[in-house]
Amino acid sequence: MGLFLSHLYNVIASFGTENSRILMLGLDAAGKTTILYKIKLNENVQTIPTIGFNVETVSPAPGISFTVWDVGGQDKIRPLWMHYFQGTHGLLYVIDSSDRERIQEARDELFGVINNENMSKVPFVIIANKSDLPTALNCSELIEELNLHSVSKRRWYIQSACAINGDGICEAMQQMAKMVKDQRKYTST
Amino acid sequence: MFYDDYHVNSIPLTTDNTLLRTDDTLSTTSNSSYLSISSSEISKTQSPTRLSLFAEQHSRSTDSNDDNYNKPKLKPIKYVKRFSVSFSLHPQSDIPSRRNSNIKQLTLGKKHFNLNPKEGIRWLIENGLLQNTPEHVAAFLYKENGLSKRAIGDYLGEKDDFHIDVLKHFAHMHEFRSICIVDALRQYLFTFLLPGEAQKIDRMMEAFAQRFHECNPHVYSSSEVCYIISFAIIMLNTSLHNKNAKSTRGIFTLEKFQTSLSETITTNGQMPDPSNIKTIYDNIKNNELKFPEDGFNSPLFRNNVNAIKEGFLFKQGGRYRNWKRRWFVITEGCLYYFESTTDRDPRGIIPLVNVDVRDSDDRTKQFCFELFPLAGDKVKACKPAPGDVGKTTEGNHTVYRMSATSEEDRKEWIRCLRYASQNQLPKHRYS
Repeated sequence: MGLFLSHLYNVIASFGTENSRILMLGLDAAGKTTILYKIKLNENVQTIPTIGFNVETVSPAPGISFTVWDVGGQDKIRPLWMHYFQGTHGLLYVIDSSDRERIQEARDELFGVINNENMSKVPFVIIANKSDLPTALNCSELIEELNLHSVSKRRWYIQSACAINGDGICEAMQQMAKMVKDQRKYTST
Repeated sequence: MFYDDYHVNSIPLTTDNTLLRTDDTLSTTSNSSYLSISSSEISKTQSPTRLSLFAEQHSRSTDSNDDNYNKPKLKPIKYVKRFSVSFSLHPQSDIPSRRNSNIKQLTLGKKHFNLNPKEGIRWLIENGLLQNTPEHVAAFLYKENGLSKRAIGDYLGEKDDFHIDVLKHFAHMHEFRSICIVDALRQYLFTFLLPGEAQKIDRMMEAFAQRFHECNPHVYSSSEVCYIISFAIIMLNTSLHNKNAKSTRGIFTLEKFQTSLSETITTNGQMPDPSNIKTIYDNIKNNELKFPEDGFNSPLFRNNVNAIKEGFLFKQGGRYRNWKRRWFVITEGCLYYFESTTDRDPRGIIPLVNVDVRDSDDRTKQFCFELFPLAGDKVKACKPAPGDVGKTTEGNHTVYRMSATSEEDRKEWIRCLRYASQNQLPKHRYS
């Protein structure tokens, strides 16, 4: 039985050995870096640091490996980094759900990105971070504020999370993995 | 308080200030009694490195040959300038205990800073060791030794207005004139540790681009374009050299780099020459942007000696009369030059003994001046022998001819060299 299970595990793993590229975006201080290193934590590989953006390869579920880039910056620079992400498989968008003042800004940035032609059809997961804070908006409020109902022909998911203790991060990544796999199937058939 | 004037001195563009400062230091150095105290005190706390030692030895060996050299005058000036200036501005600090406590407090402040940059700066300001203006904080970060480069990077990366102002001033202190954008960026990234967060990188590149464009207004059509290119360089470096990024799919090619740039730039300005883009691409591909070594073993001059003036000049060769761009540093009693600002070892050391400086003309270069010997037919100087640690060869110059970038720049260099050489020139020549 144990042998069978490990065999099964290998079979599943062989399905998804292909590396997916995931972009992580969000306003500053939303918690991107914390989330990135939270996911990374259990596979602590010492690497030589490189000058540049935070990039990590993570494996949130067996058989899936993500390369997560933390990019962003001003609007005028967007076409530049979009080039690096042609064929990106998914977008993780991190929001500080307790920062009500900047929700509009976060929404504008989100739509700025997903309306880009390189990002069309790319599924995205919104991580509503800092949900443990008293001022935090809950998921349904956020959907309203971010106008997510207007998003069509694309899969998305919203997950409330708290990066500091890791709540919700795993769930978000698993959803991402699922959507990326589905998207692959859909495009290959 | 402690930092007030000495640091303003280090901001390159405020020439007026620098002129003023030089006069100030001049008047203070005449008070030789506390000069010798502070120098001995400081040499206790800071052990001189191999190079400065050998520079000193060398200057001594040249001294012994010269009868008209006045020994006590050069000896105490090695580490003095900064302390002599700051104390002279505050009469009460002439009391030794007060002076000691100032140095101790500063060291403590630096420790605070390295652990928690924001708190550290607040502490320094609260204790009157640093003025609460972006200029002074930036000067502190740029010039002060013993600061962790990671802490500097963290501090400069903060988002609020004050930190952004500090960042702008910090970038403004760099000199990027007539070097290519990648070299300038390397130089910039040598002074702090670039954080990995996108927004921070964005702000830091913007500050860099503004300064680069200011120094080289004709290289790219606008500071916007510089900003896009420098941001692209960081992207490229990540994509080519970060192990995690590399694993995805084929490398980011030159063609992709070019198209991504042209697409971004066309909406904002004029696209630079394709050959220029290729140079940038090759430069980054063959030579990854490197993190600075953190801690306390950064180059000699960031650490031990306080420069009177530093900057790029063109220097004519001794044997072959070609011009090379070198980074010059004047300290009290010595002139050093380096191949680049980030070099650890100088290419040449010239004790400013028995030399004077004058304007000169050259057919090929503008704004020339030269260092000439007051006795003998050669300027005494030495070069570290290549590949042989600690050994030197003698310099081969009858005169050292240098070329500055403007008339003002030339005057400033001559003035600083005169001051540093400690020749007893008639006083009116300084004014």
